[in-house]
Amino acid sequence: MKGRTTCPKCNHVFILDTPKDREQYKAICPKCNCNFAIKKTSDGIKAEEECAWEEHGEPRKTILSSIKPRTDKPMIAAVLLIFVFILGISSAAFPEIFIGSPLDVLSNAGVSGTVEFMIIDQSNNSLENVSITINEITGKTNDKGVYLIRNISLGINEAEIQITENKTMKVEILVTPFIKSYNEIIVDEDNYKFIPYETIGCSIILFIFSVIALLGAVASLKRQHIDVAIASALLGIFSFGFFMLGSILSIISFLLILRSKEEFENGKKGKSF
Amino acid sequence: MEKREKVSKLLLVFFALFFIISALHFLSPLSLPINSVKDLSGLTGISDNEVQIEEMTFPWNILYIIGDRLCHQKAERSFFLNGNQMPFCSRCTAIWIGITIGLGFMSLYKIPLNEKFLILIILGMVPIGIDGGGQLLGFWESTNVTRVITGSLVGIVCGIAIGLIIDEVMDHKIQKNSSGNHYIRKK
Repeated sequence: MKGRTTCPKCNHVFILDTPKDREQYKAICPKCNCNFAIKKTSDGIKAEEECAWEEHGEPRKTILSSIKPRTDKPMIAAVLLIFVFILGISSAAFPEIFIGSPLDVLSNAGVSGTVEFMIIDQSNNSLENVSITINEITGKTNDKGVYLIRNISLGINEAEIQITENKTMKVEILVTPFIKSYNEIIVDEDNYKFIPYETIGCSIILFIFSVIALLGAVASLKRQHIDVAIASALLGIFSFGFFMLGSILSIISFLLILRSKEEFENGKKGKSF
Repeated sequence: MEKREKVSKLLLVFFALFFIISALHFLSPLSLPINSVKDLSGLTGISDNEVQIEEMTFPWNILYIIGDRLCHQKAERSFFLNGNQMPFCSRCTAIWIGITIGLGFMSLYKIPLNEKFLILIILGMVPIGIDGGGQLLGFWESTNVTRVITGSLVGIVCGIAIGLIIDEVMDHKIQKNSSGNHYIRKK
């Protein structure tokens, strides 16, 4: 057993290795060669003339919180996530602007889309020569009941379908870039059923992702629960927002939270001792 | 989790708001004439059922106006009550009800914001992500039952999250007020 002791003559402190089972041990000071006895003090024996010794094992690992300056990164991340929440809620409440605004920009940049119509009757028979007009371009369905139109401006367009000589129907279709907008119309004698092309789900899902992003903002503001903050920032990406700003801000806040994770408390990666 | 001694007024306001919306989901189709709302299928973000909604009476038309803009309202993905299509699709309806349940739960109990909430987020988000994502990509067509289950799960988690945010904001406000008193205390 290793121990540390002090020479009673020259006060030199030195380390010595003693047999584990021995209660008393004769030590020799390496400096002044003084002989003296040492004894464990933990036995409760008061050895006034004997030197006390203390355990000296492997160097102990002292856990101290390193004092690092608090940065503004978690605060900035929180502010960004609040913006993500506002953008997400706005997108959920005004989905027409959320869908239309980026498509208008792309449309102005010269990007166009392709639309396909499939006209069938109730017995699933394709209807030929049905006249369809979109953006003043008129065409007719082929023998498979299909009419394909290219170079249509993006966004929401109105299509006019001449089912019979006296019967016309108007439907609103969504034209997206790079993906063909497929719309199906089932016609019966008196009525029709329009199955529109749907690229997005209902906008309430944006509301949910926005709320989760706000929860991340709370965690970041408190500088607590790093896991919640990271997960919320990641889920905030799916709140999208106008022009995908919500997604971009969520990614930035996610990176800021990651870079300042040591400033968070009580988390698995935080300063919890 | 602990039972609340005092319910936050702000939390009650949110709960009441979502409760009214959820109740209108059922009351609106029940109050309208039988078989008057047959098919509202359309697109999210487009008011494509204005003509049908104009014929509805107040206040039952409110949720149909909101649903027309916020939900695709596909008839095959919606429930029918009294022969009338409900104002939102089955998944949306379940989400609204789930949020109300989550807020109702938070009105009675207090949950601390900690890492355990991550499990709740995963439990809420993963099922709807798999079900909705697979359907959107065309891998399968989910049923109304799965839509209700996944929607209500995510709704409950969202309701609890709203409750947690309100709690944290209120706690922060109380702490700020109490620390303010500390500084003005006379020696």
